[in-house]
Amino acid sequence: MMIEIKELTKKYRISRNNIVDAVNNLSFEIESGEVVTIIGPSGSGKSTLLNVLGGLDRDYDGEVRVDEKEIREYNSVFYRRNIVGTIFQQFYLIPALSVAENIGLPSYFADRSAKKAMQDKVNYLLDRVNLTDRKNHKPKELSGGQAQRVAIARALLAEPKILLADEPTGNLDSKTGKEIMGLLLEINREMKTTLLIVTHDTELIVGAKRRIFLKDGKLDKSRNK
Amino acid sequence: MLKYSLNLVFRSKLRTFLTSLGITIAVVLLSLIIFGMNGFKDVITNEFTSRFKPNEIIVSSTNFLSIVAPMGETEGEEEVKEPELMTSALVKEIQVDSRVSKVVPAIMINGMQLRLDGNDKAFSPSFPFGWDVPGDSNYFTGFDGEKTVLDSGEAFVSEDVVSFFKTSHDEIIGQTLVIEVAPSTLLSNKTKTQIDKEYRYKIVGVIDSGSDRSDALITTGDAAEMLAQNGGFINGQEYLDEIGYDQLFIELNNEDDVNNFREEISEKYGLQAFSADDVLEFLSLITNAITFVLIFFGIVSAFVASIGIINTMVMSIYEQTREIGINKAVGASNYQILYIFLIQSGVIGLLGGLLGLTIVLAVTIIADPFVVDMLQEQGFSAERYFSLDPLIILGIIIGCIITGVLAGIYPAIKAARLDPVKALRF
Repeated sequence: MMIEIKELTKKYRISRNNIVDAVNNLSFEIESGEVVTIIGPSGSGKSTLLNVLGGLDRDYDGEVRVDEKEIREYNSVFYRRNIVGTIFQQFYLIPALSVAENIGLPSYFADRSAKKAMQDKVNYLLDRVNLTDRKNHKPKELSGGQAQRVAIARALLAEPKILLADEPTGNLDSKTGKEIMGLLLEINREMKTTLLIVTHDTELIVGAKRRIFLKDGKLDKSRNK
Repeated sequence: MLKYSLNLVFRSKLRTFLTSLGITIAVVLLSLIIFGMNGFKDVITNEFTSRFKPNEIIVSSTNFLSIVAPMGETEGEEEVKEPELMTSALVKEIQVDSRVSKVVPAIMINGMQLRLDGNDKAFSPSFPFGWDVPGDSNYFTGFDGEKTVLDSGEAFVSEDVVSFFKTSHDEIIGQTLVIEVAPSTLLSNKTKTQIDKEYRYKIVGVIDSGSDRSDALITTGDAAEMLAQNGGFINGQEYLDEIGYDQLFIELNNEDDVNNFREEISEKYGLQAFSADDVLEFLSLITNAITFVLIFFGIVSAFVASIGIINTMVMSIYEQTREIGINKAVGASNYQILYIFLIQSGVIGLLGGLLGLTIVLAVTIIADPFVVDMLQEQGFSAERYFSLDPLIILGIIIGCIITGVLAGIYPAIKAARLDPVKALRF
């Protein structure tokens, strides 16, 4: 089992007397290499789940195991560097860096042993996302689809086992959105990367073999079968 | 990561430049203080060591160095010996000591002014001396004259006197120097015995007294006679017996005896004796004290500059919050974020330092000839004033980096501790 979530609960304190359950007692499993779409309206706990799986939020109740090991038992930096890659709706590219530098960003922080291999891989990824001719451009010179392709290439640099995509087409038109989805599915096939896509857009579920519906921080039992 | 940190520094070039200006100003201030004071110390020390031999002792009845800084403190209620008069007898007593090679007494003549015979213009205030030293001795930086040793009725005058009377060596030598009592001044009042007194000497040479004020030299015998007549003594001998010489310049055979001999003079006669080391130590004390006070102001300026860096770095955290979140999401550790921010602040410090040193270099190159001219006009024999010590330059550069890094510690810790989730939502 690649990902095993057991009774995951995440509470946020809004004010002194107001605590909200962003995710409440959530449990499910994802196989290695699987493509899963997590669907739910705003406030259903999708982003919270992604932050936990992305190793950005370690303050939760319950258990989240990746490769048979609880996430919190991993060194958080090692986990973010090597186990997961994350793609965001807003792309989160660094405006002052070129396309190639943005893709190579994880290599700046990588261990010395991995650094060289990662830097060598930048050109391959540029080619893979079809942006070789834009390698020296700055993010502001790119279209939305190109920017998201840069973000995908950056997430793949360390060859993660899990690729998390948070509303990857949210800022794109439907045609470009389909292209990006197509690219993600290709990558899943080529690299056997477990792909977890979080979205509120039901059109995106095309191509995903498995869908998990969330509502109010829980599995939406009426839609999950 | 260094490349990435440098990218962050140069992303806002204007802000980096303006922030580093604080360090630049501090560096200019501190460097000019350090190099300026070092130059000053070197000029004074060179001037002094070129005149004062290491085997020489100056003896005086008063501790003239203590006017500015106390030397040789006495502990508790220790009784201070009344100084003996520096009479001819005392000079002879010192002269017979086997360690002594030469004793040259000197008399300071106060409250007098100088004229050239037939010229009403007076050089006043003036500082003539009764001092039996040759014109070409090491006490003077230059000499021009018919003879080097004065006889009674003869005088040497200084370059300052030559300039004052707008004349030349050739013209002034052979003229008559008139030494007369100056009108009452803040420091001296005319007495009845002094009215209409004037003393005439044939000028036989011109001395360059350097940075000292030795406006005219006559023999000690003539000086004693002059002061005897002025003060109502029977003759010069009575003046020397009652008042004595003002200073004795004692030359020893062996420089190793200087310290012991100096202490003996103080203990035996209650006189103040100074060696070259004493004076150099005194000069060093004064210049160091001034340097430290000035450096304090420089450090205050560096402190203000470091607050500027802290401010800029805190501002850049706000600007880079999302970027810090991205970096953490792709695997940057807290330590690496800390490192990135410390490099940024260190580089700002380094840039400020390099700019400051460039300005200092330009200023010293431009100013050096002017300072040297000014010093030479004052009688110092300096050929160069500012000497930029590479070790001090290296120290300043390292200091700038350290200042930048120290100023960056708080912002760097703040940046490193940012929660990646909150940072990404910023």
